[in-house]
Amino acid sequence: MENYKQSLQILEYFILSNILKILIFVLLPIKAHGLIFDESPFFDNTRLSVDLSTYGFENTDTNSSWDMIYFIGVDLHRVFSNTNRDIATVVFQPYWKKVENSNAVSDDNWDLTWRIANINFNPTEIIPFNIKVGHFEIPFGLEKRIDTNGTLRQYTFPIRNIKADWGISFHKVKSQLNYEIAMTRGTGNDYRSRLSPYIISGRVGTSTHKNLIVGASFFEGKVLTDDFTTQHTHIGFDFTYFHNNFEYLLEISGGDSNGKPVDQSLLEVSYRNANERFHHYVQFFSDNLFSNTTSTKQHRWVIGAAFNSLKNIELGLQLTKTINTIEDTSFLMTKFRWRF
Amino acid sequence: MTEVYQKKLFLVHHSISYFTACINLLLILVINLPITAYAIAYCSLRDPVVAINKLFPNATHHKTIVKTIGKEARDAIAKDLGFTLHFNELGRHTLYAIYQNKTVLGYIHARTEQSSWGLVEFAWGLNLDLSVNEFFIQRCRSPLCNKHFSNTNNQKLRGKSLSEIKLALNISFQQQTETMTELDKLSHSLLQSAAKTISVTNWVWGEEVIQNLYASMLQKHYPNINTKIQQAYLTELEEKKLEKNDSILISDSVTTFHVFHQDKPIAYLVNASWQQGQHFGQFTWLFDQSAKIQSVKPIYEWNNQEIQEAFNATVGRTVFSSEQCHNAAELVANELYQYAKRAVLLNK
Repeated sequence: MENYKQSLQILEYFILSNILKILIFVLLPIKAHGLIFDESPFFDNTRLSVDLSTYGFENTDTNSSWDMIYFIGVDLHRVFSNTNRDIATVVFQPYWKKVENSNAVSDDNWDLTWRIANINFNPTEIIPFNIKVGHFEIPFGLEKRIDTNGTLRQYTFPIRNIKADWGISFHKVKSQLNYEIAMTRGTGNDYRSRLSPYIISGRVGTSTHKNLIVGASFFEGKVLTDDFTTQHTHIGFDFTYFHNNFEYLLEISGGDSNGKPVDQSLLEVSYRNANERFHHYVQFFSDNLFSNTTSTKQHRWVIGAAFNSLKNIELGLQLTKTINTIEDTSFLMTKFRWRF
Repeated sequence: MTEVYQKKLFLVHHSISYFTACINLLLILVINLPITAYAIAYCSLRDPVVAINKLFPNATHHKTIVKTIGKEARDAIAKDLGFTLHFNELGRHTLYAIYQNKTVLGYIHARTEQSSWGLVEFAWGLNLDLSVNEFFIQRCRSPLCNKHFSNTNNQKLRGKSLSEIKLALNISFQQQTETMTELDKLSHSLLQSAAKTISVTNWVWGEEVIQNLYASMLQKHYPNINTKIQQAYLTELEEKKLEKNDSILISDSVTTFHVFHQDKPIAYLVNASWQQGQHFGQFTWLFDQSAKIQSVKPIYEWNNQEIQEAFNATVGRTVFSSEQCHNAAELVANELYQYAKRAVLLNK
């Protein structure tokens, strides 16, 4: 048994330490030149992209040097079908991340981080809803509808300490309504669990093809963060309205974190040009954390722009200004992403 | 002094790291220059279920077919329509085949058009012959894309084939002026999207579309039995022997199938392209074992009323010998039946 475990560890180490070489020297050229991608039946009903990105962060108040994060990732989407119907869809997005910051010189370690990795089974005559198993975004608020994986623009997940999790969810899309209910491990990126975390969450919303979208969400659970857990109970409402080139978003949530009442609201106004290559946005977050005697207020302004080129190159720039009762901070963030 | 030195060292270190990362990315970019830009989100259906429910309310399930729209398809579409796809519209794309139990009802394919208020996504429901069943606006950020616009245009476009849409598009092109209203522009985009969708589906998913046409034809004529088709091949020499000088058939386009029910041969299915003067097309014939013409259907559409009537008039009749034939349609029936019989005989 011990030998078996050791062998597994050696294999895991070998794959992780060589994955970048495999990606760069084998997968990237094959993918890029389409040598087997379009021809092979192995890639039937498959979309495969490789994602290379660099993010830079700077605290503009302290003028410290830039913190950098590098990502190399695979984005695989495959639909499995029999002769006349879809059975399931697999989304598999492992990313390798390297952090270089001003406190620690890079140690050349690339850590595996999971974005989305799940299998989504289609409804059948017996089971009338989809069943999703694996790592997926917690169905709460605006995050459910808008894909913010790998973007500078983010929403309200930090207040719940978790963005995506391992577990199972049940969901269905109807003409006028859609819903998702998830039961997850509360461990976030890491599948391994300790201190018995768990999350039960869900969202019901109106159809996403309309210009006015309304949703209601709940979140109840114990979230594992490093060596402790935090208890959360939240209820939220989200609204989206599109008018010509403008998108208006509002999310209001309330509940308690570790027994302390907390509420948060987010308002975003954004503009896309005609071909939607440029996206400019302004966000305003307002967090209120209450205790028996005091209340802590924090406001955050975010202004950002994203550009998406014809060759799938994305550039992003975002400035965040946080105003709270202890200390104000501002961060400048940049992003360069190339997908192919 | 030390603090300044350390700060400088940090800056140099991070500049080098950033520079190295940029150089690496640049190198990969250069190495991989001949890349097709695979548009990820363009022309995708985020919620196919909503479109399916709207466009095919009797659907029980669907099947996803992902294929690559490449340069060849782009060129073919340019020839077909006189305008073509934007480079953004190339890459891996999805066609949904929609089923009601075992029967294919049609297809759904989404295409995106640019408007002054952002991208507009139309999800098109197509019939088996690729005529328009109905469209559904998956995304449009303008109040102009309202129920009235959808209802009016769905009434206009329902059942329309590619040539009818091209005709409407030509009129719309001629009417284009600087004073076009946003609604006119939207209607023009809608027609463009319909034409592109049908043409793309034909060029990229043609094989699947033809297979489903065969299945639908057989199901119509043999509704209560399970049929199986098996291709029967002819050698080039045999093809040459059967070829006739004055034929409207394009001989190397003839594909023949033997139709079975529980291993018992019951019919012949023949697909071929034809050309007469400026008219051309592709059709499928179904003959039973006693040489009776059960059906003749165009692949996609008849592009001439007279030709359509002549071919339809052969249905229900038995194939004559070539001496007894009165018109080109009867001659074609005779020729194709000979192809089928010969191919089946050779493949026994």
